[in-house]
Amino acid sequence: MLQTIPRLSYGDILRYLGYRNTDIPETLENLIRNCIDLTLQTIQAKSIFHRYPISVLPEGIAVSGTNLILEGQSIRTHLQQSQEIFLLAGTIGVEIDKLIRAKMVVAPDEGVILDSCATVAIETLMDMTEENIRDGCSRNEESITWRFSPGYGDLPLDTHTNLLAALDAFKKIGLTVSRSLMLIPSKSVTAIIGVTQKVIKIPQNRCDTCNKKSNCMFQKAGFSCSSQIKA
Amino acid sequence: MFESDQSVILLDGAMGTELQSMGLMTERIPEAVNRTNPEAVIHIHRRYIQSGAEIIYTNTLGVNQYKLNGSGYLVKDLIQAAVENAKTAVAQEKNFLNSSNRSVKIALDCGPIGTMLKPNGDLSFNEAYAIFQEIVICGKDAGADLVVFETFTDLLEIKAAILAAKENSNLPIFASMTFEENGRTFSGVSIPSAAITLTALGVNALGINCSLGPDQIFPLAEEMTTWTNLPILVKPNAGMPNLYTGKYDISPDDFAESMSRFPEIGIHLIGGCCGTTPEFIRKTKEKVQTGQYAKILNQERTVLCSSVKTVVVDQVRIVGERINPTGKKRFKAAIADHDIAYILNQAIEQINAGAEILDVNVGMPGIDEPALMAEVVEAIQSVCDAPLQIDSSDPKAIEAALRTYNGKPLVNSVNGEDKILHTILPLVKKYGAAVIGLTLDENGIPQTANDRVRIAEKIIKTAAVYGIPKQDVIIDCLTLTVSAQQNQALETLQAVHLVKEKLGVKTILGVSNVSFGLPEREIINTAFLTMALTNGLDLPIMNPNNALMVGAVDAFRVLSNTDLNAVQYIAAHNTVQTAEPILVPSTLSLEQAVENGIKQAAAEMTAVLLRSMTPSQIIDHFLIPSLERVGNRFERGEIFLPQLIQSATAAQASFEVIKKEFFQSKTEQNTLSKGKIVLATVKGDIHDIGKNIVKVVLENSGYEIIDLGKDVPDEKILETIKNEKIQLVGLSALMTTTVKNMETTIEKIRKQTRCKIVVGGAVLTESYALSIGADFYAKDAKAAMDIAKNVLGG
Repeated sequence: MLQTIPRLSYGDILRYLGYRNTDIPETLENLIRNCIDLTLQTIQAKSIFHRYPISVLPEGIAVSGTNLILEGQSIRTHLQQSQEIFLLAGTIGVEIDKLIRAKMVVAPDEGVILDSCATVAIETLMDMTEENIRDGCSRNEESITWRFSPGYGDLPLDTHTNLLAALDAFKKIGLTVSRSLMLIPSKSVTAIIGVTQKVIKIPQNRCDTCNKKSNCMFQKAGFSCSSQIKA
Repeated sequence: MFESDQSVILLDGAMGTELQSMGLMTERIPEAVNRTNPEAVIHIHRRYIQSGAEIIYTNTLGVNQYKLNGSGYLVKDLIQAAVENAKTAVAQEKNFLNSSNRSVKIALDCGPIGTMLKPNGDLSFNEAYAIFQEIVICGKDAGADLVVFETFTDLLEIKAAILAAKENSNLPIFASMTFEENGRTFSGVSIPSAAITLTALGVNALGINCSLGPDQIFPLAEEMTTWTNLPILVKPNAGMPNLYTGKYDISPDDFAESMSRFPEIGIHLIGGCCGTTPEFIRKTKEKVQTGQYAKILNQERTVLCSSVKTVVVDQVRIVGERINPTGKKRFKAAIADHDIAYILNQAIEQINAGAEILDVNVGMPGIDEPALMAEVVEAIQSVCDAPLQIDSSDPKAIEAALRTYNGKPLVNSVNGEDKILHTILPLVKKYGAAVIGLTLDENGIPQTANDRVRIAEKIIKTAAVYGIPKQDVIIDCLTLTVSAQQNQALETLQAVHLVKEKLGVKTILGVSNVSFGLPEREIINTAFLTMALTNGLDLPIMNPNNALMVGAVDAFRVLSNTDLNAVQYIAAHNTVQTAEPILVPSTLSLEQAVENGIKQAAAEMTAVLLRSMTPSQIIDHFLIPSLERVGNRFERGEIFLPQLIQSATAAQASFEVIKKEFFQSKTEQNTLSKGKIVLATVKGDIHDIGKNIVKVVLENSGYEIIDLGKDVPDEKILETIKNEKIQLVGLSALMTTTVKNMETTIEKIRKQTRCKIVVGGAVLTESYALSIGADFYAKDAKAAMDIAKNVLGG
């Protein structure tokens, strides 16, 4: 089922483009606004999620009823207060990839802007999905952790493969992974969210598990990346 | 395969969800159950047979080399076990079948590979083909009666599967795709494109399965009936799954009720997909017990398509002629330099100008035309939706393109020569294309219209012998140059008229040739075009960038009453749109144009400067210094990425003007380039936007870029470095997994060459880059500019 993303944050798009508070010519601003509209017309936003019990094994955290084992210390820490988790996956489809490819040939300025718009679109979709999960949990007086993706900290990228299989993501939303573990379509996300009994007080700084922590262009420019690393 | 009594054929229902409900779907390879618990599979098959299924699908949907990799299971073993299970079920139901005077066929079930083909993914067509080849051969050897390809979402992938089946067996083929409610698959394939392409590829039945319930599939199936005369199969899910429980939402009775409507619209084969059970099939059989399906035959239409776009030749459609090196020095240079981006630019530009089909010709002495043709077709299809016209005199190049073309293309061309007819027509048939027939033969071009009609007739008849219907043959009566043979223009027009009227086929004509050698050619071209259209020309091959000629087509559509109420004409001609968002003040210098990123002004100023300066002077005195200033402002954070790119593309517009002039006169030797740089995204990596940004900036800083693209094997990078004597190579990788490949690539380059290496990519840092052996790390495009200058000068 296609989901509707109502709007994209102009500020976030600028941030992904490396913007640093300089004057933006009117023509460029118009171009960015047009790219936002074009992105919203082109994307096919779809996400899925499912709740699973987990058990902690020596080799990792086993997700019940699936072949997925979450390896590494980072995910253990992330899920230390959880007995159940959500797996989630989302994509905005292949059409936007095609559009960006075509624009990079004839109008690369639009190409890079569309690429940032698409990144913001997938993040917005995942925020909406997370919000949906949070709403469901809060009705049961439960809380959730932030979403943790393969590739963060020491959670291996090949987690994608079994995570997508568990959710039947190829069949349900057309999301798959290449042999070198890249998600296809390229603007896609998979993630893990822990269910906790009450609101977590532990400070959760996403930057702590980010591989670019020592070399973050956002940090240098004085902001933080609100969500996830995306190409 | 199909009886002539038009009875509905009942297929089975779901296997996977049935096994799931028995708690048997827990293994990583669900189809392992064929060996671990054959009784369960046989039991399900038997219940479907008892319910009335006449074709049962083996439990092999996900059995393929890619998915089984590392599981310890072999494709051959699982397929053999699965076919054996189906056979056992049929044998055990023998008495029941005999008593009801029925027989059951066993279909080898085959689903998509599970990862995507290029250009979206990294699997090549040939790799996909090999995977399906193994499946088909195993299924055939195991004794399946037919093969079913189902649940596909990528038209090119199912084409690979169909070709594998045709080339490795005589099994009948069913081909079924999965659509979403908007009538598109996940990869954007439309119902008409699927129906047209699968029909042209000569499957035995085609259809729709999975994803939706019967009521959602109904309108899609109805649409499909209007695009094919082949039998159609429909296997819907048991409704839509509940988002939270995953359970499907309709009962066997409701399902049967909905399914009973399908035969009325001409659906021949019905069954169920996910969530359906033997009960669903039994109820469906009761509902349609005496059911005959209403065979609806469509009028024969001439239609071409890509995977997403269909072009019906029911009115004048412009065929873009620009992708062709003949007489174009700039295009020849692009082919020689393997500059695919230039060709893609031509493709997109023509579509924006109104072309609906693109002719693709890359023939030039000294190149590997089959390889280049396939590459260019694949590249164009990765960015354009228009159907293509594959234009070559080399049968190998035609076949290479036909094999990997996604959709139904047009082949340009055959003529009346027997040798050519019998070489090309089998390819046209096999790969499901349409074909252009030129009205000439061993004796040349006949001087009279009647003789050309006779050749057209021969071509159409010969095509029919190969099973190519008349509507898939388009006749070209050949435009001759009026300055050499003035009496021939009318003869051509008369031939077009006769072919259309007497033979009832569509016509095509290259228009621009007529004016060769005359001044102000577009006057003659436009008049000839209008005359040809009036005589029944359907497909003018022309330059869609020529406003006067496109205007003539627009006007013809109004005057011939096809553009009703002149809607399209008014939309196209009421407001003159400008490509540039702002008007360009003529006072802008080239430097200002580049620094402010205004393409049109940059091109115009360059043309002016070329009157008094050489290309090298313009590049050295204006373009490079301007881009350097822009790069510095970018580095200081005064402008951001889109502005840097806009400046680079403005410089590119200037370079295009210079190159055109340069290749036309060619008085200087290679002075345009400051040096060659190879760029590549490493093996396994399919994200290339970063590399492309670097390319745009470097290319317009005066360097000649050899762009090897994405997912590039080490060997190709090494070979290019050696052959072109490259001093600097730029490698890009996005992820930790592909940085590992980058490390291997660097090691090989180091061992065999002295080329300097610069790397970039999201997960790289300076120290990481140096630790894997690179000479330089470029954090962005400006850094890459500085490094190029450092290594190559300039």
